[in-house]
Amino acid sequence: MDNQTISARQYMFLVVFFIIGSSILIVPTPLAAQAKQDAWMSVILAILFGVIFVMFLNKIGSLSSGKTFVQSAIYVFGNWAGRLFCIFYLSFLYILASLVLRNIGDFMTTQIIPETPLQFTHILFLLVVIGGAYIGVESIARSSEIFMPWMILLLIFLTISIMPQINMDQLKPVLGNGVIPIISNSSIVIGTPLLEMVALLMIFPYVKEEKKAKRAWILGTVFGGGVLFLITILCLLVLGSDLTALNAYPTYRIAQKINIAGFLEGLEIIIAVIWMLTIFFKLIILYYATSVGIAQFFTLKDHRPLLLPLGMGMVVLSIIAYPDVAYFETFVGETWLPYSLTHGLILPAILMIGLLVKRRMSRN
Amino acid sequence: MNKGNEQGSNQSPSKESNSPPLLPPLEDSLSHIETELGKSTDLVIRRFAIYKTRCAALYIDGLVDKNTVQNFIMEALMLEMPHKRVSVKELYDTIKQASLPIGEVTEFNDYEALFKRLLSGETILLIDKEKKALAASTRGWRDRGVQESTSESVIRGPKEAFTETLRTNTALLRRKIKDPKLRIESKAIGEVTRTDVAIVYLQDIAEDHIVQEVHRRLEEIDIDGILESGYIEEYIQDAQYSPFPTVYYSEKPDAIAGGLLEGRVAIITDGTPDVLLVPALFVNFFQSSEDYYQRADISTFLRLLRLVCFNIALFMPALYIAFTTFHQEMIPAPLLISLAAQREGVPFPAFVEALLMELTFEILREAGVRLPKPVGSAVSIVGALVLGQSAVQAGLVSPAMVIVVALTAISSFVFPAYNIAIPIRMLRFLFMILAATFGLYGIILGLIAMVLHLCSLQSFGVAYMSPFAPMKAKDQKDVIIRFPHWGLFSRPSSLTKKNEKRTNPSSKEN
Repeated sequence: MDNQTISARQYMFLVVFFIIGSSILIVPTPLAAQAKQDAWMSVILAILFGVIFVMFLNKIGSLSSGKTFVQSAIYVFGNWAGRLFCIFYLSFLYILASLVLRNIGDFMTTQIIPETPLQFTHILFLLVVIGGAYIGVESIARSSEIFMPWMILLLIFLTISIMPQINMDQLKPVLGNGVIPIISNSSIVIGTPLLEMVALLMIFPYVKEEKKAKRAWILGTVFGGGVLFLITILCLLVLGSDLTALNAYPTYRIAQKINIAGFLEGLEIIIAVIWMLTIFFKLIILYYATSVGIAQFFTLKDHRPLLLPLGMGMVVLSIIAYPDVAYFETFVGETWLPYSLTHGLILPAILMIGLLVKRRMSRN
Repeated sequence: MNKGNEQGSNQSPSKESNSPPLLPPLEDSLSHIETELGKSTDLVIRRFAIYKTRCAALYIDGLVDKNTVQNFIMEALMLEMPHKRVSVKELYDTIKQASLPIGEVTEFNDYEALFKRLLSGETILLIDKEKKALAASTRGWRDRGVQESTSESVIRGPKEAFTETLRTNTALLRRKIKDPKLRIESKAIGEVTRTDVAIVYLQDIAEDHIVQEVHRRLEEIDIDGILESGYIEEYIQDAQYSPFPTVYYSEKPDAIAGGLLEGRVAIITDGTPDVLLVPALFVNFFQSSEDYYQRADISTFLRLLRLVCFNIALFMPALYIAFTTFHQEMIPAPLLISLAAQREGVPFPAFVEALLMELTFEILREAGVRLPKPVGSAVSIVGALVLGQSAVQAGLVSPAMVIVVALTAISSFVFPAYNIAIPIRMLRFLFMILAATFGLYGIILGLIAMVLHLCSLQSFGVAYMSPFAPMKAKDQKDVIIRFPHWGLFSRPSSLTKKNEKRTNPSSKEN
């Protein structure tokens, strides 16, 4: 294990990137499909859930006292049961990482570089991710500080330049379908970025000051959720709920509609850049967490030798994970929530109980 | 390796007794010296006697100031010494204490010290049957003198530049910083060349661990010769396999003095005007010393402009390739039509076109540097007319491509530090390849990889990308935005934590 530390601010940025990454691509469509024009309220509801969930994760983080998820699971449940427990957790991270990789690959090959085979887009992306995971969490966190101002600037620019296209009537009628679909649909946002945050328990111990880290995690969740909210409501305001639900990449579509003074158009590139940046950070966090987790699973000193083989597997897994986009949409809508609930909520809950019991036992 | 202090005037006889001690009979010593130096013709040995005691003065012709030797050694010893019988010991003491009207006189007793001093321009005085010898500092050779800087020109601010002589260079710094805490420590590096290298820092500002690290790294250098500070740079830089420079150099005393005031350490090498400065951060290469002489607003504007140029120089050809090859739909229609019309008839794909022009430019540039000045204008004619205009007329490249290459080239010249343009020149081709194979996707991934790499770099323990990453809000006052001088209240906190306060904000009038 390398002896690197990151600051609370860097951790907050990582959380923001983690929440925005890939969910900015896939969340608005199913949200608008079911909650219609009230989809934005689902996002707010989900953020509220997210804050409570992060408090729960924070609790685990401080109970583990400097151990990662894998280390504390082995510590609590012993060598064999603990490792069995970790297999679930690590496979969740690895599969999630493959899906995230596929997200960006799908988007790139359908929208931006249609002639390039999916495999090569994945391989190139993974090469950069492996390079980043090789040099360690410190550099990853630092580069998040470099990119964050750019992302904020791009978002502000996007919001301002799309202003003329906004039609407030698209949000009416407010609560037209009642409260139930809003509540039930917040599960989409809960499932996709929020529950996945359990992966960050592998990074949490690297943060220098625990108290500040907890605050940073909550702030990051609110800020990241805020960006999701902004994107969702922009989609609704510009495209309306029906068009948003029909488009595979509604955020990309609204950016295509920008036209400033008849000359500045084609600004969808901004969206593509934001996506690549955020997905990159989400993927590298997952990748780093998986490789460090596996290294700790086998009590290896260094996670670096694992990086290349893991990447080879991931290229294959990401391609066989699902055959096409239609399959993926069903997967996200129906399968993902129970899957991420099991691994994102129930697993950590068991770990927390174990940690509490262990603490009580050691006290007595 | 000899750690002898080059300017230490009150040094006791050298304690290094590995080298043979001087042989007492004078003729034996002289013949030993002559054999060692292989009867080199520039060695001058002047034998004389002071009341029957035989003496010899030795110096290397060309390295000494002949007037000094004439007036203050030969005349003093041969004409003004009392002519009476004294013991050798007495004679030696008299000469050492009373008869050499020269500022710096050192005594020593072994051959290693003798050769070192002789070959660095001192005059050696040997006395028959005496085990110790004296060296008088008579250095004086032709040097260029302090001239105007040629590689870093400024509009406002001091024009003087360092020279090839170490002593002149330390004097230039002393004249800028008249503080007793200015430390100048010397080392001789290089088994054969014995090049003098001086480490300069402000003791109450520079962090001790950085100074020690500089000493440690210089200590570890084991090489036959140091001819330029570039030798040292390659030995002490942090990132051996990175295109980005982690050592800053400048030939302007004011830039180096500014660095010292920020807590950096300068390394002056004898024989070169380029003085190294560490730790070097990424942003330092975009800052010119002139930024502090012009008013704050224009300095901020210029720094922003340099960052824009950094991006143009790095990404412009790659973006052109990506947009014209893969993402035509993102170019506004009128522009696309105009580009397509220009490219009509150009036989190459955009990548080959860009590669051709960029390589041509690099060739022109290198030729421009190497050509003697009178022929230099030929290059500009060939470059501008023959290649630029004719290539377009011949239908080999499109006019838009020429504009892109020209803009890229001009942009890569705006940086105050020459060495930051080098990674740009090289990485540009990498980005062009990425753009040609993966379009924008490749460029963005390349950018991410580059930033990750930059964030992993360090220079003498300081993060290369600070104060951006790790972010230091207090240090932002002098990075891209330059606050007025009364607002630059503290030294960069990533470089030093000692003696932070620079100015009292209330010292501003009104």
